[in-house]
Amino acid sequence: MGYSTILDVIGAIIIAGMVSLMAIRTNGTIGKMTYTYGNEMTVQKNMTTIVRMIESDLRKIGYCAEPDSFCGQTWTIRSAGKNNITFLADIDFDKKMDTVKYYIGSKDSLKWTSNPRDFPLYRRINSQTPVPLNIGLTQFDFLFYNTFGDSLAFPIATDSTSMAGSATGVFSIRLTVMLESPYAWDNLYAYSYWRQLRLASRNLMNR
Amino acid sequence: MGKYALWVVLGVSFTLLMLGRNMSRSATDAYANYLVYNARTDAHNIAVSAANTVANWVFLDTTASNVSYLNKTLSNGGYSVWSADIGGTNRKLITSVAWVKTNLPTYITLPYTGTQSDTVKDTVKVILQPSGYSKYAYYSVIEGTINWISSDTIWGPFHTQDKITISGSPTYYGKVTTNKGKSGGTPRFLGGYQAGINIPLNVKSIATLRDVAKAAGRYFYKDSLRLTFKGDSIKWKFGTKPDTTRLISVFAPNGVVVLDSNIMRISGTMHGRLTVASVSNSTNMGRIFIDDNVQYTDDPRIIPGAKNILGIVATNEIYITENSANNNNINVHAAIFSLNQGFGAQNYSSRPVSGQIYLLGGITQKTRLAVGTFSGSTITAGFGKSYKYDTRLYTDSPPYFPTTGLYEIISWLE
Repeated sequence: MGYSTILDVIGAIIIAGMVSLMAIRTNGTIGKMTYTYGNEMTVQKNMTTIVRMIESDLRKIGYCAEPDSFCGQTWTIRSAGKNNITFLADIDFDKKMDTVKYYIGSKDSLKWTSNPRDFPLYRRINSQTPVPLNIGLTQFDFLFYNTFGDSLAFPIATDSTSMAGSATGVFSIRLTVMLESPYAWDNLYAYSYWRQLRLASRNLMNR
Repeated sequence: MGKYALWVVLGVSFTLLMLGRNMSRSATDAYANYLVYNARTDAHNIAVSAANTVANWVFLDTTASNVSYLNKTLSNGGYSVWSADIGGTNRKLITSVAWVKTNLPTYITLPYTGTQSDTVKDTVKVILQPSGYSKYAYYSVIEGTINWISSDTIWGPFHTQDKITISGSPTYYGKVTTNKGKSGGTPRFLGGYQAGINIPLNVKSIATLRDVAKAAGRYFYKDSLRLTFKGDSIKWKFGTKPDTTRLISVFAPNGVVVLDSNIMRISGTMHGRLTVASVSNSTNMGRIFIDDNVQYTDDPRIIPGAKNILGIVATNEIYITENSANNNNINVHAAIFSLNQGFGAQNYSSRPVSGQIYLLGGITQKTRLAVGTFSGSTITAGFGKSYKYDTRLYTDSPPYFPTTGLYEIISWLE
């Protein structure tokens, strides 16, 4: 044990200390980056999932696998609100029209997430139990247009003198969706924004 | 001691390496998610474009055989689209399949499907069928000075080859199409509106009726004809010949009765499927007079699934006769078609006030004829109108009722 050994020990301690400090400092950054990247990927995937489902349903407005069993295109959209829509479509291709309803729940129903702005989205087919989609939805807004492309002011009147429902005069739809991560890092939530400027079911203008 | 520091360094480096790989993986997956969504949107747009192209081709050339375009390229993808007859019907099915490469390595699993592929696909299916005039609640070639006003409510499809003139806010529950647009007013087009749609009256459809009647219907020539419907039977008097009664199915097996070059008179209650036509190359003939109520035994508004259906077709005018039977309302249950004139009331301006025309069906005519005169909201001569659309005409039509010669889309799946 000489001076060289002591120097080795001191050197090792210093190097190990420096490496440890680097690791400790990096750990926080890595943790943040991993959490943030993971959140963003999750939010993105949730967005594409929900958008695909909604677009698929909205494009079927007025569609029936047996065309002759439903010709009431005027009365296909039963109700249209800022955050909800009810329409007829043969979703399951059984040649019978189904009633499809999209609507949002209250923010209070998602108290288990730290995000104060998120709320559930419900999708209901006929009289089945609504399926909630708790994926961090913070915006789900509709805007509806008539046959001339003019936006319709809310509340949209429904003409109840029709034969089998209500005529709303809606022909195209704009939908805005925003998702946020349920948890934040440093109060920063990952988010994703999507808007469909004009979605019109071609079955609304048949015959 | 130095070698232990080296081990520490190696350990930390390895840990950081794994963490970096995971972060990179997250970023890669997020980008792959975006690529797949973008590719799927592109594939959908390509499929829709191809389907529109073939649908337009079918619409413009209805006599051509089926077409197919296979493995074509468009934008950053490709498509195959083809049309085919639907067996047992007069309908056509257009199928359009499009694909787009995602440029992802094949070992990346596509979301939603769980399959491993670098290509996404989308399919669009469209059904078209020949369009008939019977589907229209109202069709005209010439609107003239007619104004549609706030108290007008029209159920069922509406088309005019002219410009539709509107005063006030009439309500149209069916799809409205015009060739020359619209002017004035604030109409409520709850069923949609399209301008620039050209659907001329198909002159050939009248000629077809003659051949059909001669083949397996009933064809009369050159003398007057009176038809009285009696449920599932029909009594007819041709010229000076005596009355004869037969079952409709025996009288005209294919449901078509044509009188060529004279005047036809009709009345009665019908149970069956029939088209009666008065055709002529002369402007003095080819007319039909409705001498009394012409109505269904089974009113479809009361009896769902009622099968009786009647078409009234004339080269020239279809008149409500001025007689005592028609001076206190009249029921007309039929799809009406007039090639060169229209549907109106005989002596509309001089006949007494005759109540209402209760029409259940639709009217296709070249020009709108008058049924009465008015002073303000008061009828001063002739009839008022209470026209209701027979919704069965969306999907059903009287036998061999004139068709437009064009196709229409009845179903679009995407």
